[in-house]
Amino acid sequence: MDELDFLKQHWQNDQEFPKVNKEEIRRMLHKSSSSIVKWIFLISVIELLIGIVLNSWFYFFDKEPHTDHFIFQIFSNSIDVIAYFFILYFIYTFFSSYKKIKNTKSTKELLSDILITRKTVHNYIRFNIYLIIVSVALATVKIFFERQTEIWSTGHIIMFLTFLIIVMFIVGWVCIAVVKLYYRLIYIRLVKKLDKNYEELIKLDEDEGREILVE
Amino acid sequence: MTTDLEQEFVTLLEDNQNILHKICKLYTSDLDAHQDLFQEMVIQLWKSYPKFKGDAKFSTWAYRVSLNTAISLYRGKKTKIETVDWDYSLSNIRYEEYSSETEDQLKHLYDAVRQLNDIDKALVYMYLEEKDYTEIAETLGISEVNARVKMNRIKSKLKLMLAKKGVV
Repeated sequence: MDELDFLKQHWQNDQEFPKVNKEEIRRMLHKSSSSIVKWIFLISVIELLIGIVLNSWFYFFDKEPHTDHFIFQIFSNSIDVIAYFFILYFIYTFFSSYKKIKNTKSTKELLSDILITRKTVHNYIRFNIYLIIVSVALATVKIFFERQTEIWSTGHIIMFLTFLIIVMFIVGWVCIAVVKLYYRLIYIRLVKKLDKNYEELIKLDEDEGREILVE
Repeated sequence: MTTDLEQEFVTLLEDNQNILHKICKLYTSDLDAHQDLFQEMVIQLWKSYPKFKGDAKFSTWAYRVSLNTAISLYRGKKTKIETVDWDYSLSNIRYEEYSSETEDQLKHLYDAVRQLNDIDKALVYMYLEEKDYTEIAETLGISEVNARVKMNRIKSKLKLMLAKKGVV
């Protein structure tokens, strides 16, 4: 007899599978949280990579001799290091949330994982905004000290400083606005999807509780 | 929050879940992979459910979408050559009633089928489900003649694999 026909004989009787009930199916439909968090994780990695590429591009193609004061170099380098350290930390957190959400079996855990991810995303955005503020402040100080201010009069210095601070304030403000817009477009949209999922999960949990009570 | 559409879908799926389990049985060899594939199929079915108009039977539509999910998920993945561990939690409990010879033969057959490529597995599934060649061809987007040729090749492939193991 043909092998497949032999298999076919037994195939139809093969009905004993672990039964998946309605609640489990419903929970699977809402598992999309794991794919949202996967996107958050992937986008943060892409951001880091673009940052590294841009930084090394500036580093290798910057033909101008470095006249920066020693202190500024130390400052900007340590800010870079701290920034990368934090970014790596955030990427790690996103990744572990993704892993957790993917493997979560209970609704309660899924809910708390979603909340944690949500908080991490907000902290990540806040961190990036602080980074911009610090960078702009550092640039302001640098521009000021690069000028030969010893030969300037006090009035000149005050006028220059006021002008510089106003310009840098506007620059910083524009940068933050752009970054905020970017995060609103990408992260906040993803977080909103997570929120929607969260609400549905709470509802699901309540329904389940009610069913148990009725039983 | 659970909409009527969701309610309807979940009920239909619960009743028809064996279609998905059977496909999983051919494509996976352990419980974890089985559950992952099952979940992926459920998500894909739910995503395309609004497009399901009811002009076909739910079971027909479900097996097509699920097979496509399995094919695209396992596409290009090298199938393991070594024998896979037999997961007894997934195996049919009824096997115990068979003679140990039959049980052994079935185990080797499943192992052999799992080593086929993603499309071949889909063909085997439809063959076991007694779909006619017109339907097989339509589902896979190939000609009927092509489907028949493929099926014959699969049969010889399986025979060869089992002969190598000295099963047949």
